[in-house]
Amino acid sequence: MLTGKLNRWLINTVVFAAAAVFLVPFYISIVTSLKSRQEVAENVLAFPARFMFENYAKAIEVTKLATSFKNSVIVTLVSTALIVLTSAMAAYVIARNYERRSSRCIEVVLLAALMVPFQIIMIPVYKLLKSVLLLNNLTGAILILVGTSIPYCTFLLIGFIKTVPRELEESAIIDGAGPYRTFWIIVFPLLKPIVSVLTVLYVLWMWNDFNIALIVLQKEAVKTIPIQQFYFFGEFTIDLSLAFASACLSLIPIVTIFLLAQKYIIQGLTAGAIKG
Amino acid sequence: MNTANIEQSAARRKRYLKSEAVKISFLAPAISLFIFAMVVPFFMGIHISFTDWNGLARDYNFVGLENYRRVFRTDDIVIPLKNTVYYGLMYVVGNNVLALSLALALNRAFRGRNFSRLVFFIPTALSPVLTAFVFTFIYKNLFNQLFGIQSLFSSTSTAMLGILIMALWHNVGINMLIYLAALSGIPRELTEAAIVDGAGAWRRFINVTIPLIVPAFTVCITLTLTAGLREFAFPLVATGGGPVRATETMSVYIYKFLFTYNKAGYGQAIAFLFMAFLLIVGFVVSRLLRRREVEA
Repeated sequence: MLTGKLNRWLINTVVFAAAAVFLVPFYISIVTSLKSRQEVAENVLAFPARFMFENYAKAIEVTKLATSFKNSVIVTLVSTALIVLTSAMAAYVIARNYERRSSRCIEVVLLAALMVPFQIIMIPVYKLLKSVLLLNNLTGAILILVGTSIPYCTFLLIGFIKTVPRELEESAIIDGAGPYRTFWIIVFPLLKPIVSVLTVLYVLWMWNDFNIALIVLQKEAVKTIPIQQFYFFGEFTIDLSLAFASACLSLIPIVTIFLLAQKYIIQGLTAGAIKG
Repeated sequence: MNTANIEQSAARRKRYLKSEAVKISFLAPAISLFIFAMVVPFFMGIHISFTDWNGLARDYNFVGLENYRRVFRTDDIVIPLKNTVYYGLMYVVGNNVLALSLALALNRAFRGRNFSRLVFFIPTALSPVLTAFVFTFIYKNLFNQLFGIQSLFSSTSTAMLGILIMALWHNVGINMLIYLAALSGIPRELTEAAIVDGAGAWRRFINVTIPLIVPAFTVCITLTLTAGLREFAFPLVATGGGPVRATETMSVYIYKFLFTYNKAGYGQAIAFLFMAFLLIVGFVVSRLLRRREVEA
């Protein structure tokens, strides 16, 4: 009995110690962002003598955060909306005509696309967007982000739609509703559980996308936050407190969403695994 | 009567065509975006890999299989290939050992459980750029202050370890959640029966827990292996592949052929060989693991 208690206490201590270590990068980011340049050089872990909130104002200016923030918001919202809506429409038709060979054929192609690593299309995407004049253009980035996300999103939706009963749609059609009306008014609301999970996941993934934005968005005016920071952190490593202030600012929206939508993120990430 | 029949079948035909048109209109947005972003680039990629395109010029020459032949003739590719395999293996082992340990520790009722789970999982919300930046700072300044050692990135022997640590911090939460979901699915009676039979904690873990969570192993190991072998953002941002190519993974190597060396055609040929390599590894590993599932 006693050893059991001791064991439990020991494991808890180890867990909390590990959690503390995991929080160190966050602590350092916040503390460093509020320090003067000299304080950063003196002691990394120490608390600042005075909170230098002016670092934040300066950081917004120096890192041109307003522009990249706006770009990130546009790319994230438009991409996520397009991914979820177009995938839901396609998945609906595929799932409801699953007995047809063409439906299963599309599904196999989408599954095969999941196997293609990003490096295969990295060079061609650059060439393609250059030739249609969409390089360094938010629209170009959005088209690529959406197109590369559709296979996985559609695949998950097909599986879900198969479990949604058909009766409601059939009665709507008998009542004289057209196919589009039936889909948007009757079916789409029924997909809410999976659509909310997918929306949160794709907001997270689009906000943090690095690979595609790196290839496609290289001009100052169209850089998203990760790309802006990639170049900024490389150039101005002298003024670290400013870099950390910009880092903390860019974290606020995504960490807020993460905390609020934790439940959906956990569901989304474990969904495929539990069934095994 | 005949004309009525014809009219009827014409109407049916019209209705059929209309319903087909509706279906196509549902599929069209997703499929056309998918074709634009993946199918077209994929076939363009095949074409590029047979040319000497430098990534910038308008014109280039068709060189046939020359690029592919050259990959096998040079030993330049050995360094990134070694790095990739080394990192991939370290990442799979490190990630799964850590994730499973955390999941086992969290699969009990105690105060602070939900909070700890969140803490291990929230790094996933950060972009790889931010993660790389913060860790570069930690290695350089905090490690020096605490342990008096130089940054992990300053030496070729420890640079990959530095990348590994930041990747584990960033990603371990996802596998932890998957293992946690699998563990909470184990029926209580089985564990209790094992306790009654006098099995200690270790035996219970080996003989009850492990066989029951093999499906989670399949998912986590396959996912971490393919992700680890593709690692791109962390080494590119943190070290740019350095010092002296110590962290240059295959993905970084391919990227450099377009943006640094201006040899897009050759880089594309490497990319296809790399994909073949990934497909074979992924297929073999998931085959091996799935077989275990059936036995268990």
